[in-house]
Amino acid sequence: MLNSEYTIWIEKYRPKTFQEIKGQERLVRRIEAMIGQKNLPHMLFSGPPGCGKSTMALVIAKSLYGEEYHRHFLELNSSDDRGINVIRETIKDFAKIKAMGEVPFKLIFLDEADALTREAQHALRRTMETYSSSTRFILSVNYSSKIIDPLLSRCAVFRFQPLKEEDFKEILAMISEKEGLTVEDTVLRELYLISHGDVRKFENLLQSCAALNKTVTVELVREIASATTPREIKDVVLLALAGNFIKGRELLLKTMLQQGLSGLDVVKQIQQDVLDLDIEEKRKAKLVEDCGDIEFRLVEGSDEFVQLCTLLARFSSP
Amino acid sequence: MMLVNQYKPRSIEDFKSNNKAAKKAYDFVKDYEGQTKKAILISGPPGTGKTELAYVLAKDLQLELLELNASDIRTADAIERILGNASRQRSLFYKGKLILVDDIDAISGVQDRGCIKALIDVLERSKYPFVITAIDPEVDFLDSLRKKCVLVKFDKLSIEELFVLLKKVCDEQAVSYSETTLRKLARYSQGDARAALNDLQSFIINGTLDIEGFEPRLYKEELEEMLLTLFKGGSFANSLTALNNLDVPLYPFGGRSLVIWGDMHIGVYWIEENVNKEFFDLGLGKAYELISLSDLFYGRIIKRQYWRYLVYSTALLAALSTLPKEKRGVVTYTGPSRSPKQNFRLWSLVNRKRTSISGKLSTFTHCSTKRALQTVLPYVRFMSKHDIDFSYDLGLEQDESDWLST
Repeated sequence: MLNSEYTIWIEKYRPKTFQEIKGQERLVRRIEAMIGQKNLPHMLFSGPPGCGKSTMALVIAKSLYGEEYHRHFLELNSSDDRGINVIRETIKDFAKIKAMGEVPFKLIFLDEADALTREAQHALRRTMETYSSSTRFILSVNYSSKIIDPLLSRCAVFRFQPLKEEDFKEILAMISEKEGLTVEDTVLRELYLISHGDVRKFENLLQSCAALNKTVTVELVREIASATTPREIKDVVLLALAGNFIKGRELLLKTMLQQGLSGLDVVKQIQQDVLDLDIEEKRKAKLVEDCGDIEFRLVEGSDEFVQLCTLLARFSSP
Repeated sequence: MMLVNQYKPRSIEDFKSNNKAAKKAYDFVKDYEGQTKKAILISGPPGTGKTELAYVLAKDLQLELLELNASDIRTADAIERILGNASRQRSLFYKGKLILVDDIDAISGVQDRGCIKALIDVLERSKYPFVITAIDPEVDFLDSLRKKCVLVKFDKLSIEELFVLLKKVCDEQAVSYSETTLRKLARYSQGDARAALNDLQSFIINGTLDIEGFEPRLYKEELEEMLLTLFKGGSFANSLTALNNLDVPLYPFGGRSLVIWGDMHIGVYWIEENVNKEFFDLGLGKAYELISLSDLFYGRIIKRQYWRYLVYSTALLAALSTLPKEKRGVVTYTGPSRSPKQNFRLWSLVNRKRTSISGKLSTFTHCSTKRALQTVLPYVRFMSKHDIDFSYDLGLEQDESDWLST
């Protein structure tokens, strides 16, 4: 047996039943009721990352179709499976075959549907109508405002809440027990703050800590958090702010090359790093504004590096 | 074997573009006894065969060649010591002697002071002809020497001559090539046979000529001139002309460019690379604003195919010439640090590995590749470095798990 213990916790501890899903009790009640009637509308799950949208879809599939759910359940990712045509073809092939068994429809889970353009969303609407007799759609989004009205009106909307500290407490207790971890009381708070309520981050961080030491302390959490956060971009920002443009530019180029980062990767990271800087609020606001301006130019313009350097030049000239 | 050495000119007939000049030199040396002057000064750009001509003359006329080149110490004493006696004594095995002073204008500084005078002394007492080569014969310190010499001027080799040469080399070396490629090489080498042959040799891979990633020598100078106009006091109008007349593209053609791109001869790369040598602090900020806005216009050209914007895209770059200069003086411009090909290879290699691993992570953990990249990969990488092996679980290839754990 090959290292089955070395599986990623976010999968190992992904809830398998409705009861195990944390923090979304009201939604769970509504959904369970609908499943009891073996009938579902199209659904739209909206909420921040790591609050259980994909898990909910998976649990629904399992409770409808049992362990053989894969034959009736299609999972697509809008930001990966590029182009609405690819999505449409895949959906068509999947929906063509009639659903067997006691549930009269198949289930299509379209993750990150807010990554679809407006045109793609209109196309998706047609597809949903065409196959509505044999399929149900679950769309998952971070922001429901990015979804066009005609799609919204065809879906029952479920708004997921970010998990609260008490929810994390239960998860932490459960994992600690199963993995034999000793966890300091204050660790919960630290993990919660660092992960911004994202279970994925929370469990990844915890697993990384446990990889080093079965006794998890706040210091360890902080150490791992900084070790898993790339520092170079922050150093670039600090160099620029200290007025050392040339060194900053050098490090930026080196980092982008070695880590294979795109311009957008970098500007997003810079914007996040700026928020954590220890500088006066007014200046911080100005820097974030600069980030926004440059991100716009980066998307609209042609040369990413020119735009990033412009940002550094702004940072380095007071 | 270096092609440059293998394909040196072997006779006067091998000098095509500079045939007249070579002939003049030949006649001078052959009929040395009847000459009033004692030396010829051959001047011309590098790689045109100045030094080789001296060797050819010596061989054709069966003379012993005595050479003094840049690596010898050329002080007045050394010149007298090395050339003084030799230029007066008979040759033991040859009909006569030919004395070559190579790259005379490479003389520099105190070390060589007085050596021109010593050289003139030596050649006036010499029994044998001198061949002196120089890139630029007009420099001041050669004034006195010039008067004592027959002047022979070499030009850049014609593209046709270089093409014929390269073709001959390829045919004899059984290299497969396309004529277009050879012409390109010939053109890019700017009349320099040495450069052309070296370039040719460096682009022969397994018997095939492949000039992908080739950096034309020509463009570098052109780009430097453009930068001079832009940064060293050219007017707005002149800068605009300089940018418009650029032979290389101002921006990479086609879609958006990543950090690094295959070709380094792109106007804006050169401008961006060197702007921080000319402007500082607030000035640098202003300069970058102009470049940034110019790029913004270019991006819109690409997206909407509205080429009118090119006027503004170019004008914004030309506006760099209107910014107050903060520092005057000599600045050495450098080519873009971001574009060499190996950079691109490295970038895409890492980028591809990251993406492929994240793709597997995303399937396994039910999220998008992008999210996996941001919120799962850093942790998986961290744990892999601490000897936790996920490769079985995730179905990783060997090179992927290697990358994760190093």
